[in-house]
Amino acid sequence: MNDHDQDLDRLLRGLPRETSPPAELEERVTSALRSRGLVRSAGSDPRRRRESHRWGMAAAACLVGLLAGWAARGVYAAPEAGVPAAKGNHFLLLLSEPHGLDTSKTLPELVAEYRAWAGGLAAEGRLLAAERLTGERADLGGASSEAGDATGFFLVVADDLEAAGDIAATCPHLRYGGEVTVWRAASRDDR
Amino acid sequence: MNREQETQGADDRTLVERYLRERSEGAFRSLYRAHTPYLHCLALRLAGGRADEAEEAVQEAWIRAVQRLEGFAGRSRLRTWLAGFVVNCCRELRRRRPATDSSPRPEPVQAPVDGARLDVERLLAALPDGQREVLVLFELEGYTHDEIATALAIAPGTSKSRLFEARRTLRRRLDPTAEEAGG
Repeated sequence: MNDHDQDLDRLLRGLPRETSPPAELEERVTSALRSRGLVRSAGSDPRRRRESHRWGMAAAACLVGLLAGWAARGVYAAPEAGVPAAKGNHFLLLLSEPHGLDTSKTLPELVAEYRAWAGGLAAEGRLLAAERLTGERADLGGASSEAGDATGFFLVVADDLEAAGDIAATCPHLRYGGEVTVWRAASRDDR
Repeated sequence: MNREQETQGADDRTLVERYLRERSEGAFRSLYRAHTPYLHCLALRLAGGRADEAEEAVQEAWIRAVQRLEGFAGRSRLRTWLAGFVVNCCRELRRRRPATDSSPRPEPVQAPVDGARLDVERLLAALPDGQREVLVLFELEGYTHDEIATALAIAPGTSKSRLFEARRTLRRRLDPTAEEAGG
């Protein structure tokens, strides 16, 4: 081995072996695992549940309502200037919180967090609509428990169910014990 | 195995056992935080500095690893076992990358380092994918050529020749006079 080889080895050995991954990566990975049922959400961890405040159904509905109001004013009715709607299939992200939302955050903090999330979708042209569900409903032909539990929705654009699932996996709702069900809307190909 | 590795091994067993017992987010986050700085660095290097690709590889690697964690027998270090998933995911992502990938040359792995080290990172990122993968796995991760051959689905001889080419390219680019002196 000559001097040049030794220099190269020295340089290679001196390279760092760790980097600081972006903080949001941890949230993305954890959300992805949660949506696949590989980790229980913080909301279902009994130790954390005791330490934190549990938002009731009313507060959760209020949260979704606030977001929906923002979305309807700022996104659905008047999409961001210069942001064309993304192309793809339409998916319904149905939000529910059968056990309430489990968090010590204040409502304004939660609203800011959800708003930032929805804003990211809007900026990409992926958010078509968002709305709160009132709980006023008619059950025809037998009630669906999933529909019955729903408290709000986001209508988004994604390439396929997996991509829509990836979007849903980043929804802050999951962090606090809420649940998100993804439904693909029929497209021309289905008709 | 030295004392530091033994301690790390014991810590890893504790973290894995806790996750398998609780399946809780907290238990997973502890595992994640213990190993992701290393896995992310490896992915970033294998991906030639493409940050998005590295993050996707790390995410997919964790999903696969967690699904198989019960089968982790502890014959190797947890870090080595996890790195295997990252290597596979990086390889799969590279294959999905368009052949005419015209994305701008990514920034190298970031670290507060001297100029020479930064140069090496840049040169590593600029190597052809196949050469860079072999060099990283052999020189930095300590894989043997047989292990690289298995991980990358290439022949051991290909691994050796790619390593030779990678080292020669780096030597030449670090010091243009090296070619005459070192061949």
